[in-house]
Amino acid sequence: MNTVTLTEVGKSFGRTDALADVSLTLAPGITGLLGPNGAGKTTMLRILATALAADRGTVSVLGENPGTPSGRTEVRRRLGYVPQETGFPRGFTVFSFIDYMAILKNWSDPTRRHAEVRRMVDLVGLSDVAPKRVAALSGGQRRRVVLAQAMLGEPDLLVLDEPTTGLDPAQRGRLRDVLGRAGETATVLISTHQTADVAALCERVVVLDGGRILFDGTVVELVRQAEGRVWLAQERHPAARHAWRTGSGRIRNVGDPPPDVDLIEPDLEDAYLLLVGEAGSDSALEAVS
Amino acid sequence: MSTALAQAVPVDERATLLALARADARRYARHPLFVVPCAILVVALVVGVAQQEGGGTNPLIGTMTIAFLLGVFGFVVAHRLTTSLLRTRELAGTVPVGQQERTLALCLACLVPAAVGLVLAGVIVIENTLWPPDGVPSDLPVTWFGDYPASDVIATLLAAGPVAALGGPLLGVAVARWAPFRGSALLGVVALVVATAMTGSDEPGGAERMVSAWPILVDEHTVDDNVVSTTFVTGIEPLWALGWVLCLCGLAVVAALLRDPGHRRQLLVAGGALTVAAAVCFLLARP
Repeated sequence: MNTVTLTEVGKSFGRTDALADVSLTLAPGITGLLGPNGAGKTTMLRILATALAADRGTVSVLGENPGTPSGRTEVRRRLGYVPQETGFPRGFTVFSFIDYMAILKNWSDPTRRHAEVRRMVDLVGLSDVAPKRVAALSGGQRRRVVLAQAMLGEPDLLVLDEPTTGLDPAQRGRLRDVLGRAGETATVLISTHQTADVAALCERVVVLDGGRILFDGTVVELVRQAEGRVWLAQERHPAARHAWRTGSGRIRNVGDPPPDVDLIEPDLEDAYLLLVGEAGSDSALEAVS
Repeated sequence: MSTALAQAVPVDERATLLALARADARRYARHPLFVVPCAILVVALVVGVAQQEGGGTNPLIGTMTIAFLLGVFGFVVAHRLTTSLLRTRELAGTVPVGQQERTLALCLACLVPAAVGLVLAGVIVIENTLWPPDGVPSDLPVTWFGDYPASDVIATLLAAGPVAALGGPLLGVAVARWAPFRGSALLGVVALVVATAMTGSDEPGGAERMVSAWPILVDEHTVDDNVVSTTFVTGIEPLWALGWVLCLCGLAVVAALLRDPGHRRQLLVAGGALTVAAAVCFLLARP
C-alpha cells in the first residue's frame, strides 16, 4: 500500500526548475534518495515534509492532501522530519529541546511525554548528555538530537535529509540500526550523499538529477547496471569516466573498459557515478545539439 | 505517529496549548533577564523590611521598580523567547502545532512576570501596612489607604505594577512577531521608555500622562528638593486608567496573534471590542 504518491509534481524557484514533473510512489520500507548537489532532493523532501508547497501536480502523503490546512496538520501529526540544516534555540538542554518538540507534536500528557523523550534519548545514544545544553554538543550529537525529535512517537513517515552528516562510523552504525527498525513499519525516505548508507539500509533507491528521476528501482538493479564497467589497473584509463587511486595503490577505473582488463565487482557508488555521469553527458549533448 | 500510537494519544488542542504555555513559562522563569531583576526586587524588599520602612512618602515607588525591572526587561525576555524558535524554523514549521498557537502560549507565559509583580505588590501593601507612610508634616497626604479611597490605591498599584509587568512582555511578543529582526528588541525598549518618559514628564496634574502605555498616576510635591507629599494626579481616575492599560495588554495579544492566518475574524472582532473598550476607559479616566 502506497503511503506517498507524487504525480507530476513540479517546483520552481525563479526560472530554475528544482523539480520537473516528478512522479513517485513510496510504500513502507526504506528508500534512499541519491543525486548530485542541486538535483532537487531537498526540495522533494521539503514538499513531503509539508515545509514547502508544490507549484504543480498532486501530492498525497499518508492519504492526506498537504495542500489543505487540515491535511497538512494531519500529515504533520504522523511525520518525523530531519532537515538538512537546523539551528537550536538558546538555553535548551537535550532533554528540554526534545520535550519541547514533543509538545509541538501534541504530546500534552507530561508523564507519557517524558517517558517517550527518555526513550528517544536512549535510542539515539544521548542519555549521558541529556542534561547538557545543546549548544555544548558536537555536530554529530546535535544531529542525533534532531533525529531523536523526528522519531518521537514512531511516525508513519520519516523524511531524513542527510541524517548521517557529521556522524562517526560507530554513530552511523547505530543510526542504521535505528532506521532499520523504523523501516519495518514506517515509510522512510533518506536523502544522502553516502552511497554506503543507501547500500547498507535501503531496499529501493531513487536517483534524482536536474529535478528529474534518473533511476527508480532496487539497489541491486542499480548496481547491476555497472557490472563489467569497473576495473583495476596500474594507470588511469582515458576511457574511464571516474578513476581514483585505491588503498592498494592500483587505480579503480569506472567507465567503458578496454578489452582484457581486470574487471571487479561494482558497488553502488560506481553505479551511481556512471548513471549521473552519463545523464550529465546526455544533457550536455542535448544542449550542444 | 504510528497508527496504534495515534489512537492511544488523542489530540487535545487545549491540553497541548497549556502544556506549551507551561514549557514557555519555565523558559521565561529561567531567563537571566528575568531571574536577575527578580533577585534585585527581592533584595530591595528585604532591605525595606530590615529598615522597617515601606515606600516613604511615595509608597507607589515600588511599582515603578516592578514596571521597569519586570516590564521593560520582560519586553526583551519575551522578544527573545519569541524569536528564539526562528533558529529552528524548518523543524518548527513541520509540526502540527501552528505558529498562532505557539504565539498564544508565549502570551500565556507572560503571566509569569505578572504573577511575580502581583506578589511583589502584595508585599508592598504588607510593608506599608506595618510601617504606614506619612507626609512631611504628617498631615500632608500620601497616595495610600486612609488618605485616598482604597479603589484608587489598589487600581494604581495594579496598573503601575503587575499590569505593567504583563504589558511589557506582551508587547515584546507582538513586536517579535511583526518585526523579528535582532535589533527590534532594543528599538522597542528605547521607544517604550522614551514614550513613557515623555508623557510622564509633563507638569504635575497634566492629564497627558494617560496617553502613555504606563500612565504615571502620582504627583510628587517637593520642598527644597525633598519629597514631602504625594497625591494622585488630578483629573485622572485610577480605576479607568487600570482598564486602559488592561485593554492595551489585550490589544498586544490580538496584534501578536494577527501576524498569522487563522481565527482572523474572531481576532478582528476581539481587537475591535478591545479598541472600543480602551477608548471608553481612556475617556472615562479623564473626566
